[in-house]
Formats: sequence, C-alpha cells, structure tokens
Amino acid sequence: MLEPIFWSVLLPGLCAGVLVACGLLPRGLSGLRVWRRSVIALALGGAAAGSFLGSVGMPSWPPAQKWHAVFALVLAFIAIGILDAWPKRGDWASRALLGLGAGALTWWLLALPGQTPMAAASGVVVCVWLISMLDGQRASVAMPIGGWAAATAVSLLTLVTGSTSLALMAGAIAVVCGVLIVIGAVPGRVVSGGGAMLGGCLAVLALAAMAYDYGSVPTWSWMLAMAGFPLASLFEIGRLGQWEHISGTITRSLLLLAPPIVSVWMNFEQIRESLSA
Amino acid sequence: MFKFLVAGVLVVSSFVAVEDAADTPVAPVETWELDTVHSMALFRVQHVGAGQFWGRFNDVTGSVDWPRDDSVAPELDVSIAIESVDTGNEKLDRHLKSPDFFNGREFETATFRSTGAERVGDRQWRVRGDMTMLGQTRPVTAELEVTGVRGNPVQAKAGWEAIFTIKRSEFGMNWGVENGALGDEVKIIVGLEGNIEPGR
Repeated sequence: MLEPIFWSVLLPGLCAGVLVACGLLPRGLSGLRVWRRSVIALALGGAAAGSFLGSVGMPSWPPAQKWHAVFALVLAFIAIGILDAWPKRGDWASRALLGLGAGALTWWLLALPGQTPMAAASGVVVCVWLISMLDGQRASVAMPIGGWAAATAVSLLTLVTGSTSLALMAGAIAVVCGVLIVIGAVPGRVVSGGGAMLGGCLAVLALAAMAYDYGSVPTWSWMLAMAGFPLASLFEIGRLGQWEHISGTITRSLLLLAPPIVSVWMNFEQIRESLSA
Repeated sequence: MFKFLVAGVLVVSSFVAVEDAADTPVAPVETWELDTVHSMALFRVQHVGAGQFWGRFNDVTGSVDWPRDDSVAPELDVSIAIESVDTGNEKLDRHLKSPDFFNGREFETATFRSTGAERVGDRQWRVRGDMTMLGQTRPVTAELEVTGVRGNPVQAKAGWEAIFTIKRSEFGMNWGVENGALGDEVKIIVGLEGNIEPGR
C-alpha cells in the first residue's frame, strides 16, 4: 500500500503543495485575491488529476469505464475553480451559475451505475455553490481546515468501499489542504480559495465511491463527511457572520471539523480494517 | 463366376466401409450444462513482487459442447460472476469488486467463448477463444484437460480443467501494475463439471 500512497497521494499532493507555496509565500502575492484563489483551485485540481494518473494512468476518451470520467470532470472543474476566483463576497448569483455549470458538466460526463445523472448533478450543484459561497465569505484558515477534514473523511470512507483509486484522489486533495494550513500559519499569508473546486471534486469522489459501494458505508456517513460546510454556513447568518476575531476562526474551524470527525469515528472499525488489509 | 466376383467385391468394400466409419465420431456432441456447485475459477497473481496471492470465483455458469469419446474439442461458453469473488478476506473482496479491479457494478460477469482448438495430447487440448472482462474482448488460449466422464447415456457428468495465463492490463485492469504492487500476469484455473440430466 505504501507505493500507491507515494505515487498517488504524496507525490501529486506535494507537487501541488509546491505550486501553492511558490504562488502564495512570496510577500504580497497571497493578498492578490484572484491570483490566490486561482492558484489554490489549480493546485487542488492538479493534485486530484495527478493522483488519478498515478494510480490508473491516462484514461481513454470516451472512457472505457464510467468512473474514468472523474478525471475529465476534475480537469473541467479546474476551469470552474479559476472562474470562482472572480466573484466578490456575497455574490451568490455568480456562484450559483458556477454551480449550475459544474452540475451540467457532471450530468453530461458522469453516468455512474445505480445513480441518475440528474441526482449526481444536483449533488454537485449544491456542493459547489455552498462551499464556494462559504469560502468567499472571508479570508480565513478555517476553510483549508474544513477542506482537509472533509477530504480526509471522504478518503477514508472511500477506502472502506474498496475504491482505492478514488480514496487516493481525495487523499491528495487533503495533502494540498494540509499544505495550505501550514502556509496559513506564516504571518501575513492568506490561504482561502478553491471553494468551488473543493466542493466539485469531493462531491464527485463521494458520489462515485457510493455508486461502486456494496453497502459497506451508510449514506449518512457521506453526508456527515461533508456536513461541516453547511454547518459553518449557519455561522454566517446575521450578526454571527460579523464575528471576525481569532475566536470566530476557531469556532468556524471546529464547526467544519466536527462532522467529518464524527463520520470517521462512527466508521472507525471498518476504516482500521481497510487500512490493515 | 462373374456373380461370385461381384459378390466378393461387395463383401470386401462393406468391410472397408465399416473401417472408415470407425474413424468418424461415434459419440454425438452433447451440451453439458455446468454444475455451479462443482465448477469454480481460481486465479493467482504476484503480490508486491513476492508471494503468489490466490483467490477464487464461486459462481461459474455456462455450458460445454463435447462428445463423450473426446473426438471433438470441448467448446466452452463460460461466465463468471464478479460478485462471487472470494479471497477469504472481506476487505480484499471489496477491493477486487471495486473499479480498481473487476468493477463488478459496471461489468457483472467475465466470459470466455471458444473459437477453436487443437489436440495436444490424450484428452488434452489447446483451446482458443475470446475472453471478455471489463467490457474488453481479447483473444486468449487455454490449456484444457478432460479430467473425466462418468455415467450412462441418460445421466452423466464430465469434467474439464482449463488454465489461462493473461495480462490483466490488456483488459484495462491497471491497478498496481506500474508501481509493482501487484503483478500484471494472472494465471486463471477454471475447474468445470458438466451435467447431462435425465429428460434433456
């Protein structure tokens, strides 16, 4: 298992990490909003695509297997992620359009067994829109923390289903989020961005893992893995949304962390067995 | 005298005709329905360049067209249910059924259909055919042995064992091939038992 983890998690994750480090660490660069958000979207998508190439190789077109379309979707989501760099805080209409675009791509490209394209597309629309909105609200390290937690939970749950390639893709996204958290600890560096990319990728990976699962992971576990984002969104309503201090960041981070942790904890025994298999 | 000569020629030619008949198939080709309880497929692949890892498929169905005297090659039409994969470890079974390997949700069966054969020994054949796995059909050959036949004209059982060696990457099953986690070459041993049931 170490070789696949190296080629499909660490290598693509760390290469993408180097990209964000080069793009955000030089003084002043991370303050350029569109630049920062574009670089993070590119890094997240690049890590997921690199992971796929590391474990599956270059897929044919049209895809020989339905789930291979995940690779094409990730590449398409990079474009969505870069477009997501422009809308300003609170611009829900532009983000809704991006969500609909991501959903349309999913509907067109991804025909998973046992799922209607419309159901899969609806899930992607909601995730892209919601996570992009939340990400656009403020420049805070809470978002990479939430992304890391959700990606790790999706990765571990996917591992239980047996779809290891998909689990490694989510793992590579988690590595990039981890690098963002570290960069965020450097004074003056801003690390928010890539919300649409993160939402689209995690939704597609979770949907694909569910489609190929033989009933080993209950649906609520997947919902819980992603539930940090809607939970943290509640914290943006009314006066709570104006809470900007470190205590606000910690509270938002805890809200983003708690549901994925509960999801992993509820499936811990299965995850432990999968890691040892 | 001429009548005796004609009669003699007729008698001799009738003996020749009987000898010729002995070279042609005596037993008819019968369709043997596979006994799903006593048919299975084993597979073997190298793990991390070290040990040989074994697994099996428990659900093997299909038929074999074959005459009991083995005068014609067995013609196999075999289907393996991917969901019946069994390694003795539930987690490994799940991984094998996943998109990384057999992708059982999309491709419920792997199949083999004979297209030809040549005799290589007593009750031994080299069978050519098309194997379909992950939606990809590739020509493969198998070393087949007729392991036995027992019974009477109305109720009988016959057995065959076919050994295939394939490269799984040719079917699009690439997990672990590049990084050496799992070998590319897979040996598949299919043990088949067919029935001729009364009234069929």
